[in-house]
Amino acid sequence: MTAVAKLKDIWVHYEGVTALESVNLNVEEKDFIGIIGPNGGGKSTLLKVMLGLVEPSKGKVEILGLPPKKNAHKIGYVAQYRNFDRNFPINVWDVVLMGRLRHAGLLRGYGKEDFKAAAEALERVDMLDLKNRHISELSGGQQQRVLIARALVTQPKLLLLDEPMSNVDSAIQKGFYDLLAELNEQMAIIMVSHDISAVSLYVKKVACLNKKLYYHGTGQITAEDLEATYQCPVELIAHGAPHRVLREHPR
Amino acid sequence: MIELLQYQFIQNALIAGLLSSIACGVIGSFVVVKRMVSISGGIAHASFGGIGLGYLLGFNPVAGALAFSLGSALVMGTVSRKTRLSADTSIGVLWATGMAMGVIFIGLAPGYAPDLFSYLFGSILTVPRSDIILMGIIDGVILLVVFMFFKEFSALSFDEEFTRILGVPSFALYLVLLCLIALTVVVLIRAVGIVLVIALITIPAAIAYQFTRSLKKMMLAAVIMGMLFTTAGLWLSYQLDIASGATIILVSAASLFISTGYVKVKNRYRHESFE
Repeated sequence: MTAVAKLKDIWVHYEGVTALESVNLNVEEKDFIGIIGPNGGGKSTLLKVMLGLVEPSKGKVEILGLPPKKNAHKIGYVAQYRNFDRNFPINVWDVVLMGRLRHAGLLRGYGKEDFKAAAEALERVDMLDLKNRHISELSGGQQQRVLIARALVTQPKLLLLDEPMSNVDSAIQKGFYDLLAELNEQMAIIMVSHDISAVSLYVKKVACLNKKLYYHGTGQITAEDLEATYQCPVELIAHGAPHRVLREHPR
Repeated sequence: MIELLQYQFIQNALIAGLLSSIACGVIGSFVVVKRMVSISGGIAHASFGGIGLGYLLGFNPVAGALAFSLGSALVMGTVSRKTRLSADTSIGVLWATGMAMGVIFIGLAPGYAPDLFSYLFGSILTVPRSDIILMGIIDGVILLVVFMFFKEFSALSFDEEFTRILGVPSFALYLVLLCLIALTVVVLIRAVGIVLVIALITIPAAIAYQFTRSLKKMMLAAVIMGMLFTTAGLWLSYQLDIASGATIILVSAASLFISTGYVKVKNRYRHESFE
């Protein structure tokens, strides 16, 4: 079985600054990996390497057995910042259809199959009844759902989420994580976040990234890992449910 | 107004205005939503080099403008995407370089270049039939290419990074879009001139942007508005005996000012009625 994503000894240098240092990562089917780390630790860069948007200075990346340039379109990606203009003249439906751009092909309009995929993706994120809304009429959380639907519309095997909760009200974050858990039944998910406690509650595996990736393949992060990542003492708070990620610690 | 239409030059001017509005409304909508206003300004000014070359070597200056605007579009697009120079820098450099080349070429050309001013500020009242035919052909090319790649151009304008991840040839498509801007510039040079091109590309689309919710409707609204502005500007300039290109721009700018004010007031009213 080919791994969903395989990164081997990845180095990235940006204008003389090292962003990633010898990163190794194996993503298998139905993994749910949370990547945490400080700002500037290379979290977004790591995702962009997988997407083929950043060329590593050294190392090898494989997405479903092929280099990202060949296979990045099989990844669903939700970027950290909204790259688009909120007032862009476009509605929910057309944003989601955009995910089918490659499937539809050049010189052809979107077809039946594309419409069906878009409707299904919107249904999954519970946004189908708002499909005719203009994007400026949506809340931050609804916009995020639309972007997830756009990522889902190609039925990806891997979903990459860069700080997905930054525009979502904390009140509805739980619903969001439930959605991700549901999606995880069909695809591997990598979620980048700076919110350690939230990540630790919902993901199956945690990795810490600060140029180097500290990855264990199990759900437990230790205080030592976090200290190595953040280079300062970090206080761990253990959440009980649904599964323990952080070990118990004396109060 | 009706008796004015008997004159061939007025007819030509009106047709030139309408043909300009089509290119402006369609391409201007992409320019506004993808924020390519300054790159369009760069392409327009760089085309002056081609006009100068036409004078120097004795071929149609509009053909020179076409070559220079397409060339500068490709260079600016490539530099902004493939080198570490920002788009901003390459625009500024080509903008001035094109103008400088135009000045030198015209200086070297024998004799005096009488209608230089008309290329800088337009002279819609002296547009010859041959130029109208050329404008019509270019309009056709623009509409055809936009029709062929509409979904790609929309995606590119909305979120370019995403189209790159999908593996759609986004860089090539971006260059094609810039070439369409270059063609639009050439269509407009006769009507409003190099210096004023940018206003006619931007203003009708900017007004449409405030009132429409889909790119297609935005384009349609921008085309109609461009037609109104060019016709009204033409009529007004004739009545007041003032420069036509500049009048068209001022009519457009005044409309943008009014529509923006209207949107502001309407939004405030809407907010107040909520409270």
